[in-house]
Amino acid sequence: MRGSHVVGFALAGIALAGASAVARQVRPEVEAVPRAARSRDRVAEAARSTLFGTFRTSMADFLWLKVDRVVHNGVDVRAAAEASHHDDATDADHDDHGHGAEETVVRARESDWRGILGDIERAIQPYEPIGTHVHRDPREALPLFRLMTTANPGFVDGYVTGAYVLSREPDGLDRALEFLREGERNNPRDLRIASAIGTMLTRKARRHDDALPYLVRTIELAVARDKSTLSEDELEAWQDAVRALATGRMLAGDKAFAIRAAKAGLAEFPDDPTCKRVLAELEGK
Amino acid sequence: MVGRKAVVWGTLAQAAVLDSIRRKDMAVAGILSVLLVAGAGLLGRFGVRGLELFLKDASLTVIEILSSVMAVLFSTRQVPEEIARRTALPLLARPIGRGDFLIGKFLGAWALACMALALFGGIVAGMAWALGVGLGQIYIQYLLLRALALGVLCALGIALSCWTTAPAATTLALVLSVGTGTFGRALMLVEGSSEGAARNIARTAWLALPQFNLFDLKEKVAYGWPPVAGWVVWGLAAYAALHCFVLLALANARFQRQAL
Repeated sequence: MRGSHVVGFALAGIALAGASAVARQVRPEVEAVPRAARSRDRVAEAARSTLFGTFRTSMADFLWLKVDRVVHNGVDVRAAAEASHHDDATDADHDDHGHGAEETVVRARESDWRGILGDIERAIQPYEPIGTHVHRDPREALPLFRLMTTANPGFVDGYVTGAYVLSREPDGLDRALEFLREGERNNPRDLRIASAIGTMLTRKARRHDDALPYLVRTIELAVARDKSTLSEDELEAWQDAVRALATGRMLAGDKAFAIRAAKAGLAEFPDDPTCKRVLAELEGK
Repeated sequence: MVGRKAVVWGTLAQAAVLDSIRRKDMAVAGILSVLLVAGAGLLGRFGVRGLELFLKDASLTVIEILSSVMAVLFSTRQVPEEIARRTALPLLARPIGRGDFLIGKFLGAWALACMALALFGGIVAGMAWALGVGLGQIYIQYLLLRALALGVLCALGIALSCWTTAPAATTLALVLSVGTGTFGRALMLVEGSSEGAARNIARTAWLALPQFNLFDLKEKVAYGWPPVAGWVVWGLAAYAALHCFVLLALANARFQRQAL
């Protein structure tokens, strides 16, 4: 290759690089993207997000249901139907295992009209009478909580319930708190997670000062909302935070704060026994 | 007489299997198996500690879906294709009755479905072994009962393909194979909360429809339950035989009058 060719290639390369740089600078101004194309792209993006979001939600819900099956050793249970004609004979009795009014999805023999086919179903599906069936340790479901919150980081129930199960593990408290903090990063406006962190720090770790910001934040988040829009779980989380704040400050020796917290708590939850007890202890009422 | 019938059925079934192999239908099963292995590899990469139960449940669900799809695809096209290719008439010109033709086609489709099931089942067993997940002896019963369910599904596919077009038969069979579990439970709920005629209709519908969830040991395998008693397997074999007989009789009733 002659020297003139090398110089020519070098100049061509420099020219291409320069043109590319200029094109990058001017592209936003000269690129004509029709409005329709832009909105089409946005719609496509929204559709992808919706589909992916639906998948994540469904996956998390599916795993949530699996947790229940794991705890019941695979036996499928449901709330007992009030209108059922078989209430006297299905496994719907209240029992000593904390089931309340639950019944197995597979029908009990006493109420089954299917004869041998019913016996076969009870042999094929995981089935044991509701009052006597074996329960597995909920800790076996821990990987499912990890999986469901990975699938859907907005699944607050997974974080809260998973953290309580995790806290029952030996040395599990720190991991439970870390799990909840991850949930808080993903759901900063959810009062249930803030409440769970605060109450866990108060009741299990006895770190009352560390719990304070979380409990205060829970109450702030709850007060900022219309009480009638709060779900049952959120109301419970709020009340839990009020109780933990009153008892925690009392145990930390901050009597004035504890009294204020108990009075504020009673203003929202007039029958709360914990707040009444704190006031009785501190004010002698 | 029975021996000659068995030879006819066996020959027709063998022809169906060979035709399917020649058409590389099993390649579909192979491709699906590769997907299964890839999925297992992905799970293995993330680690399955503590997720054994979920892994078993998911794998067996995949087996169930894939084997059902294969069984439906194999069975619903057997009769319509023979008619469309005009090969049914030469076959029936030999001393082969239309009923024998249907039974041979049913056995061929069932054999193909069982081959696909064996392939998927083997891959899941290998995958579980590689990941250190125990399936237990109940897994053999699971595969056996799954094979029986596929028999009923193949008979359903053959029957539907005689009464409707092949695409409609495929759709209906897939819907029934997936939906009878849910529908059966819904019927049981209706039966439990109704009286009189409604209750009787719910009971009749439950008994008339093939209840594929009766063959489904998936949950017991996943949750590590012990194997079921022998009478259950025999009972289900009789249940499957009864449904196959009724469905093939329905198919025969239509096929006898069908213009070829």
